[in-house]
Amino acid sequence: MTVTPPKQFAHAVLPSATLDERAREDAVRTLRRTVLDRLVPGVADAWRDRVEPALPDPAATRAEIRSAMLADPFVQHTFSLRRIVQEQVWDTTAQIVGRQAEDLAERASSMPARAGGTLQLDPDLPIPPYLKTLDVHGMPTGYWDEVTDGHDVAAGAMYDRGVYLYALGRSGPLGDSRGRSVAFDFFAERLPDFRPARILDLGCSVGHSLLPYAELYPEAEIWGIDVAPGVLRYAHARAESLGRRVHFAQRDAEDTRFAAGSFDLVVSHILLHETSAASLPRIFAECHRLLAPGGYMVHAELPQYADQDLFTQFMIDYDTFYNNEPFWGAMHDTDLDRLAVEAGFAPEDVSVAFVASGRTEGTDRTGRSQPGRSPGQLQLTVARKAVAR
Amino acid sequence: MRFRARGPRPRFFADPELDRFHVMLVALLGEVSVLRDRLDAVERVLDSGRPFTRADLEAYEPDAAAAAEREAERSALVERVLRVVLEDGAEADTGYATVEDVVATVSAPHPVPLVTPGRKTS
Ligand SMILES: C[S@@+](CC[C@H](N)C(=O)[O-])C[C@H]1O[C@@H](n2cnc3c(N)ncnc32)[C@H](O)[C@@H]1O
Repeated sequence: MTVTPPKQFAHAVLPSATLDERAREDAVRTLRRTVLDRLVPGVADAWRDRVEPALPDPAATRAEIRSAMLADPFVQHTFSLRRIVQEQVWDTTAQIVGRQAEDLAERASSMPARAGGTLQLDPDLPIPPYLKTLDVHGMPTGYWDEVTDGHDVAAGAMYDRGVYLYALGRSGPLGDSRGRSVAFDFFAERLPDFRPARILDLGCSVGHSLLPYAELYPEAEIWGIDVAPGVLRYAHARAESLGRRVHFAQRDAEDTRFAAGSFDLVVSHILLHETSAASLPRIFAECHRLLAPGGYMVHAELPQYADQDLFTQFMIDYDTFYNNEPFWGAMHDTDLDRLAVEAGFAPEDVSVAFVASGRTEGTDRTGRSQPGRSPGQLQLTVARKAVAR
Repeated sequence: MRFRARGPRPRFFADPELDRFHVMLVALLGEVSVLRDRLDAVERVLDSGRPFTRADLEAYEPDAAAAAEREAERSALVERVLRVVLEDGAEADTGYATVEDVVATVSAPHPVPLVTPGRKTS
């Protein structure tokens, strides 16, 4: 029997849905599950049974696999469906958010800050060029569009409701399974004595992954930054409605303008792959600058490509070409440890850790299960700033 | 509100019109599913035996059992529409490559083995 997912938690700014809108979401969810569970595994069969045997020479790169695979009619059909389902996720969500955008803006602006968090916006902050070339993962507001004149939260509402649908509800009622993995499976388990007083989350979006830190470190002063105003207004209203004291500010992770040495912990969750090759080293350098001696930088992403076979790389690389994530592939090819060393961390203070992923696609993305460093895990790039002697 | 994302859209088929038809087909599948769900909601509210208004219908939320039934119906609908792709190449193989081979075999005046020797008919 198919199990229906838990309901998304209805905090004060979650957009509501009519009977037909809920049915449309249900249709998209069923279609997406069918494509991932029933069709995507067939792509691995196509490779093994038809495409690979017909190659004159073994494929040397994932690009060669991709060009051979995209000539196969079953693969064309499956990838086309997968793309269309993604468009349907956003089409459905945009109808829901669009008709109540004014009301959501009003609700967010009148939300009392009972938990004591704050919101700082900077209308002059430029949006990075890489966020303007494509709408990331096909979300038609981007992160940064504003659709009403007031306290606009449409992009945040799109992201919150749409990502929940995309994740088939597996990210939990608060969409925080990824943040919980990093906070509780990494920090609480493996660094039990680390008690950061000041924490910064880069590219926090609506705060899904950030709020678990407020739960784990209730005494800490917690900041989330993003370049996009709509997701931050939404994040602030959402956190207050959930009773979590967090400060949100519109700043760029490459140049945050916080004082040097002013944080004990700087984290990011699935931010890096949505930036660019030029941006990555600047973000790492900024993390090093921001940390106090003994402080930690931790970036959570899916596992790097280096340890995976070419076919698995091709499967995971779907998002680079077909899901508007243009830096996905190049980021997963980048040696993040070396980048940390180049940013000023001592080589012996840089390490890699894995935690079970809150990520929902797991083996479905590859069509087969991966032992060890599987796509069902999050890879953490961990660096500790040297303690001055 | 925009419904289309910024940036070039990838293409999957040799003929771009096929990409467009695929989009329309899946959109229609969604609309049929919405209609079915709405009809199902009307029937379930009717089952209560009480008069109801459109506002009552709007507020309808299935309980766990009804949600599972509706989900199973929805899955079955999607499977029926996608069957030609889901079962790609899964026709039960009798050892004949084309219909012409079958026609020639059953039309031959003298008995010939109907199934190529050594191949399974499952
Ligand atoms: C995938 S979302 C992050 C999701 C969030 N960290 C979570 O785990 O729920 C990426 C976010 O990074 C933001 N972003 C991209 N580049 C940035 C930059 N240079 N500085 C700050 N935020 C950035 C985007 O606006 C977007 O909200």
